[in-house]
Amino acid sequence: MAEISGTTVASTEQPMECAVRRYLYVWEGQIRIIHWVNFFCILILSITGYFIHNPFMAADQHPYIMGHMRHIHYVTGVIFAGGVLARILALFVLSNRFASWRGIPNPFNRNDRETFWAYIKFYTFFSKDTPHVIGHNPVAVVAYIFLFALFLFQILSGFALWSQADPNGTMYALSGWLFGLMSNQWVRWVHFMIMFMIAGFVINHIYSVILFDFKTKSGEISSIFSGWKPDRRD
Amino acid sequence: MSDFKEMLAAHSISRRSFLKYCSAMGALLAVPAAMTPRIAAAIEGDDRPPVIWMEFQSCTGDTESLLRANRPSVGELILDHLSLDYHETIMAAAGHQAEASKHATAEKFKGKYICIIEGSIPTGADGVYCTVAGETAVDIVKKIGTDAGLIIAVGSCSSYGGLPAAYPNPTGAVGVSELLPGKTVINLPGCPMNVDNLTGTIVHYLTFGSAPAMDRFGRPLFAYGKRIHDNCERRSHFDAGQYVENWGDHGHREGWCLYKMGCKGPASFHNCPTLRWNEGVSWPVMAGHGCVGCSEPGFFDTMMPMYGRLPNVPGFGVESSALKIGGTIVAASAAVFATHGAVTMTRNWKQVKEAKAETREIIKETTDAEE
Amino acid sequence: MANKIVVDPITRIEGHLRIEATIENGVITDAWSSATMFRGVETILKDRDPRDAWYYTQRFCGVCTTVHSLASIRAVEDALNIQVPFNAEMIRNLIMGIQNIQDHMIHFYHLHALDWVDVVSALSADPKKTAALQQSISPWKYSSENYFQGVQNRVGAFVKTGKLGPFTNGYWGHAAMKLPAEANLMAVAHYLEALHIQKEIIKIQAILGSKNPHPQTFLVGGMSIPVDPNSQNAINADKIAQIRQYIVMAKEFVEQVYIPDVLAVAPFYLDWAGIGGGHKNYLSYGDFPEGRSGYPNDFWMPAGVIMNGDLTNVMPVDQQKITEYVTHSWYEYSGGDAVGKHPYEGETNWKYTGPKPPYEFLDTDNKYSWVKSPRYDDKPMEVGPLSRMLVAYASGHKEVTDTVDLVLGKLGVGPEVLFSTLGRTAARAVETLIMVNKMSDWLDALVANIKTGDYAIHNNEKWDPSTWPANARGYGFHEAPRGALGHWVVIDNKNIRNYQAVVPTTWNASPRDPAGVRGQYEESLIGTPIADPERPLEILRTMHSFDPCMACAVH
Ligand code: HEM
Ligand code: HEM
Ligand code: NFV
Ligand code: SF4
Ligand code: SF4
Ligand code: F3S
Ligand SMILES: [Mg+2]
Repeated sequence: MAEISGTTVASTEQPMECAVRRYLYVWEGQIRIIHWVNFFCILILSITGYFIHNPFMAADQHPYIMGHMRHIHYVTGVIFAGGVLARILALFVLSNRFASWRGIPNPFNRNDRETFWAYIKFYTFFSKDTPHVIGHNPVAVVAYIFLFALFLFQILSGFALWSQADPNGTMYALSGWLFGLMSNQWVRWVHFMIMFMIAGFVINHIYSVILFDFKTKSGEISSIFSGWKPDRRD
Repeated sequence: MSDFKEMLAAHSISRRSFLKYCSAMGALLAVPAAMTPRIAAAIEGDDRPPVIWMEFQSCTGDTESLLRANRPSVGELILDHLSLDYHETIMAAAGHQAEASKHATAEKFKGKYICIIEGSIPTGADGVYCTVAGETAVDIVKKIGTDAGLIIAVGSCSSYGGLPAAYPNPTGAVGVSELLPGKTVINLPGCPMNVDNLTGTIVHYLTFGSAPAMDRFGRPLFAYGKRIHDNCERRSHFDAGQYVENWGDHGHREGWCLYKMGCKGPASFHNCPTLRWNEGVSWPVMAGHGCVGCSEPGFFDTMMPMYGRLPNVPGFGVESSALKIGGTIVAASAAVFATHGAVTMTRNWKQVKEAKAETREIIKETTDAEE
Repeated sequence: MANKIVVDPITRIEGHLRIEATIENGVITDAWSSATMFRGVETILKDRDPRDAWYYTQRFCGVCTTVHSLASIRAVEDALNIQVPFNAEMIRNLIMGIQNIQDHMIHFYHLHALDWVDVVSALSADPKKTAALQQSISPWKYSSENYFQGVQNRVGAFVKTGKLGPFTNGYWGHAAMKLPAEANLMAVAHYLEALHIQKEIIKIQAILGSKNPHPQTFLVGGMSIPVDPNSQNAINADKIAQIRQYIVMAKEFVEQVYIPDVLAVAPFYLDWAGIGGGHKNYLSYGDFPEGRSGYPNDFWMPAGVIMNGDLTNVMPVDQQKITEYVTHSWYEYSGGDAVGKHPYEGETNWKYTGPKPPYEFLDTDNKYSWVKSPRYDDKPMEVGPLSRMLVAYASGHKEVTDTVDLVLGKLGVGPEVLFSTLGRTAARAVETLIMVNKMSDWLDALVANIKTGDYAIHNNEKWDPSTWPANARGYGFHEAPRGALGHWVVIDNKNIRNYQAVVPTTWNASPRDPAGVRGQYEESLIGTPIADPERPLEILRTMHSFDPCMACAVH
């Protein structure tokens, strides 16, 4: 497995033909499912959430519209919480080394550090060399870690806001402590703001998968649908 | 007006005859002399708890609220239920006489009296921003508060700092509990507190002999255990998506939801919708204005702007709405990666051109080969 | 040798007032008035949304709980020049009117009365004679012997417990107490009745504004209580009927109890018609717009300035002549403390320089109060019911002249007695009487306008800040229960850049100015006889005649 965990930094002038040594099943089913479940949850949560923030549609054509929006938001929120949890669990169980915690670059590993800097140099145009790894792009992994931190706060704050409907209930007992740290208006504010941060990530995310799909010609995008990635030999 | 003049004509007598009439009644008694024996006789058998009510950085709105009491009425409270030994706005004595009765009660009933505090306490500049009889509010609270049997903070100022503690809190104002760590303080926030919640607390204390159950912010559950939004009579309009869009519009006149006018009911725990004010006459939402969240810790700053749903970031001013900030985040990210894309494209232009040409070549070759 | 006495706290007022006075052979020769609490709300208002300001300023004071909201929205409306719908103006008048009535009622019975009434002596009254006294002065329904017997028993039982609560250490049996026992018993009964009436009549504010204290109904551009006779969520016939009922209740009590009480008690204290006059400079901004053109036009209560008690010359008010000094107040001015500032340029840079607490005396030669020193044309002014009544009287305002002459006639005295402690208390009663008779006019005007199909309560044109000019400034005036109130606001790209309030009690309670001229409280104490320096009841009488509100004064 030495090679696949290592980096192959492609030369500036990439040969137009390169034989594929073999195909690797990088993103297994459960990972892809989780990915797309979360994607759709976030889509729905953002639409319904924005409506909750500012009910822009008039009621007359949709009676009980806010009730439905909030209901959808809460239910989706629960599913989303499941999805995020599942992905975190998958770091440790039921996933190959690409998707597991081993896919996270190790700052104490020289090779990983070099790979990381290779990517940074590439992103910042300091080097024309396009780095390539089979698994996670290490810079993306850092983004993913921040992203999941946002997810976790979004879930905590979401359940906390929800629990205010019954301050004597279990949900409040589990999440209400948050209001000891910040007033519920600021919890709402942050919950609202994180929506935009996630949107910011998505732009970045989609852009860079397209970027690498283009640069490395390794079917990056299709991998999140099919799971396959070519193990290229340049 | 005229009917009033007739009334006077019919009743009142001329000044001279009135004076004569009155002076016909005996002279005044010298009070203390007359009172002492009866007082001595009656001291036992009276279990009204002594109360010391102190105002510091207050607007006296909570005292005014007290005067609206109805069950029991303030008259009954003062005469029958409590011994209100110190209350600057109401008491007859002033100056030394007033201070004397405060200290007398504090010593005589050490550990037993009820201490009610209205208004925040300024801790800045060694407390010089509020003094009574030359003593700072901080010192008074520490003295009278520590020896009290029960401490009640009435209003948001004494509970959490309230108005004086709003940014930039010029006087370092704090609520009572911050000055008396370890002491149980019953907070009755609200601006003002609703007097029914005070009488409710006192009656609870007199009836069950203990303080009522409280939430994490020291508020009795019987009054602050539920959200305005979850008890609001306009909630059905909220869920149905029927909102007031402009003051005085159809929805406003029809009693629709004030969410879009900045109502803070969804963030506020208080019993206004069920208890209402002034003996159940009305409450803010019922009268067409959104809730401002006056009973929450962090009020004022976290509940303003009044007509916006979420707080503004301090310092950024009126225009710094959450939406603006969020929009900027997204726009920034889009801009960064758009430029990155553009740069990448230009840097790879040559390669793309070659690839195009080569691909055309291959297509040509294969089609030629087929012929 | 003069001996200096301190009265701190002055009780039965709003807030923290401290009086220091020197007494020479039984008479006050000099006095200093100090407010000992500061919050800094003018500073807190900086950088906030001008539409929110009223909610902050309302909390200057929970006693005159509507007046600072009103002055604030008027100031912002002036800055952005917004015209308010007629319905809103009438609703504002009704709210102001009942505020004034209820505030005065509480003041007379619960803050001021115990200066003149000896609660304990009421125990020795004869209920039968008390009933006769009550029946002799008005047709008030509670006038039977049994009724007064009941009140007396209740108070008696209370006193027997030995725990006098708020009446502990009162000035009972003080040499300056002059009422016969029966008058005292009657007053005690009315003390308790007024406690009930005030909370009833103020429900007008709850109906129109959700609650009292601190009604939540004001808006820049109008009011937030909707009007629609065909909706159960707006002002409709039923709400109007409720309001009418409370107006009647107030009118009945003021005409049959409050005024007769003043007429009955005053004769025993006519010496106080010669005490407590002070500077005799009076200022009223005028208020209660009645016409279609709205505030600040067609005032029912006229504006004017009277100097040195000269009722033959009422001068117009010019707000540019108003300045505030901090020479003897715990603030610093950028231009130096000797120069006054107009509120538009006003500053609130607090800096305490007084003695370190706990202290016995203030450093009265230097700064000694949190109250600034407002001056009009560099003169200290008195504001309040007396100023309003004098300005209206001197300008020949019909209702006022009629009522004042009526009351003076009953007491057999002339208008000159009005420049006094007793005059202030009488003027407040007179104002309550004409106000309580005015309320229904405003309600009728509101009803008549609703009848035309006009349900507007708010002017939306300038609600959205994007419609505002880059910067603007304006001021709003109001005749609050305690007198002439002004707010000045400077708006800079949608935010408050400067906010300054000059409040009734700021005028009356002000410390000395750079010229060393005393404030009106201080001046009006000069020459007051003090029977017993240990129990300074006389100081309370004159202070209470102003109805001090220190939270307002300092804010
Ligand atoms: C990506 C994830 C999410 C996004 C983008 C999102 C977005 C939003 C937004 C924009 C609001 C309106 C905030 C306001 O203006 O008051 C909101 C409210 C809310 N969200 Fe979320 N949310 C997310 C996840 C969740 C989760 C996991 C839960 C938990 C079940 C949740 C529960 C709530 C609740 C209870 C509210 C308040 C609704 C109300 O006031 O009736 N949200 N959300
Ligand atoms: C809310 C939106 C999205 C989020 C939060 C998100 C999140 C993620 C995460 C966390 C991963 C890492 C895979 C893993 O280890 O689980 C990933 C991978 C990936 N995502 Fe997304 N994703 C989103 C939308 C999309 C979209 C719309 C596309 C479509 C092009 C996409 C394409 C990919 C691809 C191609 C990968 C694999 C990248 C690689 O090979 O390293 N994602 N995404
Ligand atoms: N002085 C004063 Fe007020 C009044 N009336 C306000 O303007 O009392 Ni609190
Ligand atoms: S809580 Fe409100 S009403 Fe009470 S003192 Fe503070 S400002 Fe006044
Ligand atoms: S008016 Fe306020 S409290 Fe009532 S439902 Fe609407 S948002 Fe909630
Ligand atoms: S503002 Fe306060 S009074 Fe009640 S409705 Fe909101 S909590
Ligand atoms: Mg001021």
